[in-house]
Amino acid sequence: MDRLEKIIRPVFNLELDYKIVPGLVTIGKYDGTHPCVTAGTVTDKVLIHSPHKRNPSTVGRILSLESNKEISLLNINQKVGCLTVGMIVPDDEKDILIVGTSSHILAYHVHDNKDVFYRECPDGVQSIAVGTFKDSKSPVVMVGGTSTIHGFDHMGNEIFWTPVGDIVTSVLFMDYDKDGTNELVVSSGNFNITVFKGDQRIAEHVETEVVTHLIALPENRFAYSVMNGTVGVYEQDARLWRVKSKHVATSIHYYDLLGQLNPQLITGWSNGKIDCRSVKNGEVLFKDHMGAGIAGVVEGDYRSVGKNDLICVSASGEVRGFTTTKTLIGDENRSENDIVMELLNQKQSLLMELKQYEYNMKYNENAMNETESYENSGVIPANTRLQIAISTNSDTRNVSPHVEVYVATNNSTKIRSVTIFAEGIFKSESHVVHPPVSDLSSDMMVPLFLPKDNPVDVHIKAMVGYPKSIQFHVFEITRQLPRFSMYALKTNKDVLKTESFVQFKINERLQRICMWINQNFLLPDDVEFNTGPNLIVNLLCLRDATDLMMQFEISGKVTFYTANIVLASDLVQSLCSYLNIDHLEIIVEFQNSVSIFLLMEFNIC
Amino acid sequence: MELELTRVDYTVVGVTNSNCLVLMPGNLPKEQCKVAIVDEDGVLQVFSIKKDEIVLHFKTLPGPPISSLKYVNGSGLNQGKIFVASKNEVRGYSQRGKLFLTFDSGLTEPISTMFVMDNDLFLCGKHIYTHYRDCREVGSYLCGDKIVDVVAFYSTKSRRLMSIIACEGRMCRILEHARVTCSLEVDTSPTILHLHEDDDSRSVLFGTIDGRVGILNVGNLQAFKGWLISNENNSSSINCMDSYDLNGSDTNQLIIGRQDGMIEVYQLSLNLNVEVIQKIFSFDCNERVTALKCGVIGEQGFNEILVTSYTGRVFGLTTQPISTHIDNSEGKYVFSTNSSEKIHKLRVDIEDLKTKILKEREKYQTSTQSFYNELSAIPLLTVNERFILDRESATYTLSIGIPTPIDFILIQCDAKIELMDEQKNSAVVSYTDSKQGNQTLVTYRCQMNVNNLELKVRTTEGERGTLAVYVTPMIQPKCSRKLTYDIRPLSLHYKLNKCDSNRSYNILNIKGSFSLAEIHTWIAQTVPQVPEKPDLGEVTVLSFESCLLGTILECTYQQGKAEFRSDNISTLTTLKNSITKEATKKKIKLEIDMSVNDESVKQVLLLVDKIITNCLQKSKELRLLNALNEIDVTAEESVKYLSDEYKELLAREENIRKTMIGQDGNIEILLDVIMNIYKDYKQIKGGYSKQKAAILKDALKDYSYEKVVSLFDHEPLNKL
Repeated sequence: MDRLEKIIRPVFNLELDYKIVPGLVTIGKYDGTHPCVTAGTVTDKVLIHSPHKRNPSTVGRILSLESNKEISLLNINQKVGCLTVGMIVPDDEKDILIVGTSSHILAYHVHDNKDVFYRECPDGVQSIAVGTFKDSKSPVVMVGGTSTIHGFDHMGNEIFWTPVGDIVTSVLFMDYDKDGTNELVVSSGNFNITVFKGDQRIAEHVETEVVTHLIALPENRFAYSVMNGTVGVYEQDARLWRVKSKHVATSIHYYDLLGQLNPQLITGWSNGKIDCRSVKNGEVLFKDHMGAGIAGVVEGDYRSVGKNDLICVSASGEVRGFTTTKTLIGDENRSENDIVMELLNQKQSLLMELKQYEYNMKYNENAMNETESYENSGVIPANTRLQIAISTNSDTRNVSPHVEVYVATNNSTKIRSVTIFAEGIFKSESHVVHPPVSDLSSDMMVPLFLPKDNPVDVHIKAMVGYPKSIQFHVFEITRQLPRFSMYALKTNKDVLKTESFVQFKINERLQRICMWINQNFLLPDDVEFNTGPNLIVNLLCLRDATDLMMQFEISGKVTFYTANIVLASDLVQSLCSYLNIDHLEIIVEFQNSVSIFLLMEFNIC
Repeated sequence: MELELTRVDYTVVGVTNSNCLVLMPGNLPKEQCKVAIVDEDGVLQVFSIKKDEIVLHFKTLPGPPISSLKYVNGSGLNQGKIFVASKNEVRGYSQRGKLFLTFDSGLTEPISTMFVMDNDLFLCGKHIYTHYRDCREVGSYLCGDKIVDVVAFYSTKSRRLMSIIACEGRMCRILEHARVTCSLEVDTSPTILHLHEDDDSRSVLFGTIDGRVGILNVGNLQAFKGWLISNENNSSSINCMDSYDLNGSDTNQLIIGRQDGMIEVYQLSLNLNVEVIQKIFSFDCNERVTALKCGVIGEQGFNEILVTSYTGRVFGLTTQPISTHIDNSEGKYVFSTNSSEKIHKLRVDIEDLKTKILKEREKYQTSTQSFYNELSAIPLLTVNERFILDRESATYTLSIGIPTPIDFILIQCDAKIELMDEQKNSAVVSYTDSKQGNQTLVTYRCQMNVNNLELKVRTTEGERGTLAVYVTPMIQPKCSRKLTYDIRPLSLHYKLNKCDSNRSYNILNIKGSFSLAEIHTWIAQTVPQVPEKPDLGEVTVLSFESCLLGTILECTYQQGKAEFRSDNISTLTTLKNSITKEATKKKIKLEIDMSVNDESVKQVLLLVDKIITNCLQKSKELRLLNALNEIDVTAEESVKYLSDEYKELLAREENIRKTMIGQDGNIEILLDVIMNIYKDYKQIKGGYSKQKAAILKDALKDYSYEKVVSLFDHEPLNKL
């Protein structure tokens, strides 16, 4: 690592002298040949840096600076929300700059100094992408708004529209399913990444926070970054890796910095760090640091050498360029000392572990002679075990209804503290219970309030010892909470059916449906179907105390009674994916609305 | 002159501490040295390096941890000798590993530092310094402070034997015949002493806990001479130093190793009182450096810095150029046969260990199923930790390091604290909104392969509390080590050696049937940095200063009687509350008398005012800067039209932004201070009411000194 940092040095360095808004950086060849870094400034101007320009033009929207002939500014007079470039005009090799503001979109021909189109977008402009899609021959400008996606052609005519359901934070064209044509990958404010083929949803990935950036990678992969500091890579529906940092990724890009066969993922972070990771496993191969947070990472032939450089722009306007550097990385030609170092690391941790066992053995042999009370040093009976039970608790006396994690040891040892790590269900990533010494006991109850109906992995770490111990044993357990954990079985029989329901017919044995229920709900006992005309499950939502009744008839008719339309759709989707159903006719009846007849289509991949 | 050094890894040993490494030079100047290393497992090993491989000369069996290792050069027929100190015993070994001396010091404290010179042996425990000649005690000194290091030398002028001890209480003491001849006060706690020798000149250098290196004048002046290395760029504690001529410049360079893993080489000349100093090399090894020594080690003819880290890594930074290993035609490394053998050997070792561990793991697993009364014991995790007050920022720095990678750290505290973000740590922070008497519950989940974590903790004065830190390493079987730190009611005070008496003081008098030890403990429980033992004299005097406000606290106490003076009335009130609480626990009756000096309140308000005004000014400037940036003043043409004031502001921009980092919340703290003074003052004077406090609180929203003072003055007692 250390040596690498000496070898990879910036090939150029320059100052724009403008404060740049993170995320608003792109690069375009406005004259068809020379790349220009283009960035949104904090004063809502668009800055175009053209180091190769001969005769700056000063007509139209563009204003050239007297002091720095390389920089020209474009006044937008509205808050710039997103910037991108693309060759959208047919038979023109020049890039067109596309600027999105809260209410308008402007496609601007920088070289000819004219608007290509300028139109209002009532739904706002949150993200833009340019690419070919579906059967369209010419590129489409895809604009993500607060709840929809619109596609425009080069004249500004709307040629595509689809609803998304939340703020569209990023739009990406890529061949997701390896069929040779582009799909549309969209991230939205409800933590989802959705893949559209035409206006059909073909896949959905749920993250734990809002996804902010998406980029396409070679080999049908894509990388994403999340507001909570996560960066990761997907290959179709499989997530290859993800890492989390306390900083936020402001820009992601891919570039072959290290001269390997495959390009690496370059991430710019809010704290000014740039790191270069292997696309396959996320291993950090190189890192650098700029004086201010990274505003954007792009690539272009900035030195006119016939090869693209990696260009990093910081929020304070510093621009740093890197180029592919043959380095001595990769297993077969890493330096011998790096290998030695790594092997020594391995050896050290193995030795450490061995020492622990040896100590344990010695202690046991000598246990009779130990004078010191073993409670202080955290010695516990070897057969101490941690038991765990997860159930729903609808008791509303002290706390609002919740999912309850109960842990207990099987002897007199005490649980000092329980830490639960999980994504998306706490304010941050962990929840700690640490009672005062006087209240320590051998069992502990941890209430969990799950905000959404998603399956969650919970990593439970319990410290077990005695009240005065200065060291504790840590018991680790990982459990997956089922998707519909926040629904408890109702005890009283007087169930009021709500007027709202969804109804459909499937050809499946009720036994399999029972399996679905048992896998997706947190019920005290497994539901079984023996005889009778139908199976009825009465549930109570722990979040808002509303009713959910699921009725499965032996004829195959299924009815979900609930006032919550989102829940109804989640249930249908979950059941269908469990039973591998991809077409379904559904009757939807909701109070205060006309009954609609829906044909739902699922593509389960 | 820049220095180019390349890292070469040699081996791993157990956990090491400072003074764990010595080099034994060969017979000829450029011949390879032998290396001796001791560790916490109690192992002393001596090896040399031949053709990239370690040739072990001898290795002792594990035992109690070894705290210090010294080497005395041989001369003539006499062979060099190795001395190790462990518990309260000193052992001497010949270079071949023959034990020739076992010497029980008879000290009640375990030996923490040692210095050997010819026939003189200096041993220091926590508080005791003892001088032996030919293994016979010739003198000892009992120090109230904790002794951190000791060196000795013959004075060039007087030819007398002098020794210096560095003490935690910001003091270096010069001793002759086990009697202190001179006490040199320094700004911060020293960590190590080092004799820097160059030709015939000799200087005594010391490293500090806040990353500085200072020079002591031990010649005629006997004073602190000045700082050699400042801590502007790196305030990480200095853990070790060595002097050696690495680059053949005919003068010795100073090589330092720091807590945060930085190894730095400085070119310096100390002659003629001119200190020319230039950093010529730095390297970050990302681990705590515990010791370093320079010499010819790995390859004949090449100078090298040998470094040990806390986790037990032993590596060199060699002047041997790396290019000898690169085949230029392909740009690839060519493995020397030696090192491929080395790698192969390591791989075999690791495979062996893996199979061994697999077996042990199974055994451990079966023991958890057993019905017998077997126990599960994990050795106590050794933690290298520190919790020290940083006066500059009035915050505590908590630093934790363990020998294996950290999984996560849980921090729990029952007093009001604030954890501040540190640029250097990359751990993912997560807060839990807690009940059950926890003010703070935070987890820090570390990234891969991280052994250290450093945090800043901001405390609030007035409350007593305990900060608990649970450190959980990755290693199996998994355990978590609990560390606790007291947050004292006057946590932001530090000890002063001299006291400014030119202030108006409030006085708190306490009388009662308490012993000296009792009152001393009560004070130690209230104020940090109190020495462990009270002075042996009749009256003990301690002085402290608040690093937040600069107010003074002076304690004068003896058995049955104590007087406290401070210009800050809140300090006295806090002290009073804390002492009464402790006395009540012991059922000791106290007579308390407090006299308030009105002038002092004004003075303190003035002090606070100065800081607040400064803060407000800065935040105003920052707002202005943000506004200026809005209107694009960065472009040159627009700067022309700005007023001089704004131009000057822009010029200082970077500086202002830098100083504002981590300053948010400072004003709130200071306003709280004013509220507390008001409350304490009025409660003593009478006439405190919640409504009036609310009026003041309201007034503070738009701070001005006059307004505050008028509210303090508004209704003196006689008007009621």
